[in-house]
Amino acid sequence: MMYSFFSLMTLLITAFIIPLISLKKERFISHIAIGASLLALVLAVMTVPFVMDQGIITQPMEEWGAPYGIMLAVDGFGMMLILMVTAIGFLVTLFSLRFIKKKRTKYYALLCLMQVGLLGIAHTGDMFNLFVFLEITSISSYILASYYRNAAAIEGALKYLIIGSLGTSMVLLGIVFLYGLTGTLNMADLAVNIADVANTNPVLPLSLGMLVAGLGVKAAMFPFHTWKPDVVSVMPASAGAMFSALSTSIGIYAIMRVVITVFSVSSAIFYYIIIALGAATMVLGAVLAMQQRNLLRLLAYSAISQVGYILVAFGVGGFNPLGFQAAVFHLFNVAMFEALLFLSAGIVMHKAGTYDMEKLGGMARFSPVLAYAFLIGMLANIGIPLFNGFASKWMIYMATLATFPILTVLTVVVSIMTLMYGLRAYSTVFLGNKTVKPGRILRSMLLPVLILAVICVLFGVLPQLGFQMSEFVVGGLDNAHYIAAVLGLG
Amino acid sequence: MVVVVFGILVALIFMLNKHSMKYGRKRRPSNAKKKIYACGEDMSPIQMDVPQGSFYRVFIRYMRLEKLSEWHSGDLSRYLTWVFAGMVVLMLYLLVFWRFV
Repeated sequence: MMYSFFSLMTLLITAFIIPLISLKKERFISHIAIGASLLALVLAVMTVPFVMDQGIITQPMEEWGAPYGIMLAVDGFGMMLILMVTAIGFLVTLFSLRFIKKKRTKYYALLCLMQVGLLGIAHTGDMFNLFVFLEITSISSYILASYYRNAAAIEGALKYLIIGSLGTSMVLLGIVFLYGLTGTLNMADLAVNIADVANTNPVLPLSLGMLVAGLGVKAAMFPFHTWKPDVVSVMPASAGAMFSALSTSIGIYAIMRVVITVFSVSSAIFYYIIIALGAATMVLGAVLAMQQRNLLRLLAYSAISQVGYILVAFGVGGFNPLGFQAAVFHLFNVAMFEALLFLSAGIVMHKAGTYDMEKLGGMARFSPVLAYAFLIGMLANIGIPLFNGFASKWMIYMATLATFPILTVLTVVVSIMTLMYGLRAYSTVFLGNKTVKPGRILRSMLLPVLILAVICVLFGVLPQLGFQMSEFVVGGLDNAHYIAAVLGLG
Repeated sequence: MVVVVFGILVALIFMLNKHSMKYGRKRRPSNAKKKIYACGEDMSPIQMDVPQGSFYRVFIRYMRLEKLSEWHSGDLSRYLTWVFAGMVVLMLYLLVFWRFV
């Protein structure tokens, strides 16, 4: 039973009733949003046993089955994304209870819509709905980027609107090419039909290129990454946490889904370019993070660097299956510690009133727990043992060592660069003797941060949880099983 | 086992939180402790503070990576150039090499 679909519906209905309720009782909006996101999380968790039992669960939306009707299909990979979206969504909504004080109606409605879009991408079994939900996510984040309505926010939102629209246009064009070539939009049916298309047909690589480029804009892959720091640094930190942790994860999920399930690319030619782009993303993110003065921009570039790791692992997965597992596990870990770091930065802003690291310092004296939580997130980011980042980065090192040892050297060097800017950021913000006067930290803001810190430590101390999860996810990425389940073949 | 470890971690965090509230309120370092003494002199915090953005300036210059900052200056037309260039390179690569797949 696909209870997770009701998560999507709960959040969609909440997004629409929030503006109505705000006409009478605006002070209850935050609590309604928190309740809805908690319900969405519970429903998502209830779906897990079904996915683990059957491998993939499907739900036709009306009486027409695949490939003609709209089909929802959730396998292990989709389920992992659904859990990530609902869990981080709930924690961010809880965090926002005291963090967001103005324009709550707009904020919570858009936050719920963003989650709807993200969940829809994880649920969908056809390309057109992938595009529709991508647009829902994008449009809600364009507006959230302009939340503060100052010059920087509007500029950032406009940049994202223009570049993001370019990305979704490329995705649409890729889908159009695919439809023209095969006559279907259902992912499983596409996979069957694409196998019959000759390799010499130029439309096939053109549509793949368009899709990867368009989704690469969302994933902030080099060279489509330039918008991200400008946008994330002007958003509220809570929305930034959601956006940075999940939007890019969904972009990578969509790329992997298109490449593995729809096109079932097995050629080394394609994976070489993914490795090259991933390596460039990784290095660029780390180098630019070292030069940042604004804490949110530093975290944004750090997130870009981690996306590079995931792409390198994905590319190596074309040669060594361990690479796919490493990519999936690192995708999960990056979402967790990036959300932790962004929410911690939000608390810093709430207490000190600035993200400028030149003006911050000595925060650990006023809030040691926040300092510990930020340090846990940063150590996980660097890949220090006992934290979740180490477990997935170790898998990446092993996968690259078996195929391209030079990549192992590169990933280790970038980890050293992450150490350089990570510890520098921690020492600047939390150590030292600055004169910034902090306010009180509220429990509703500290609790989500602590929960994420616990998750980072849990998956670091017990990495076998992550190994088993990624093994299950990658095992379910088998194309034949997906096609059989969706199309109802033998 | 997982639940036990999870529970221990959660308990540790809550214990730290409660401990930190006492720490935050009662302990205040004396002025003497806050002083910085280096190279035979008392230094002010401002003298010891290295600007965040230029902390790794030497490393960046040595590796000749300053150009990267210029390419991320906030200019939208430059960003769009990157996006178009990336799109063109990616599709050309796939168009040329796809026949070898």
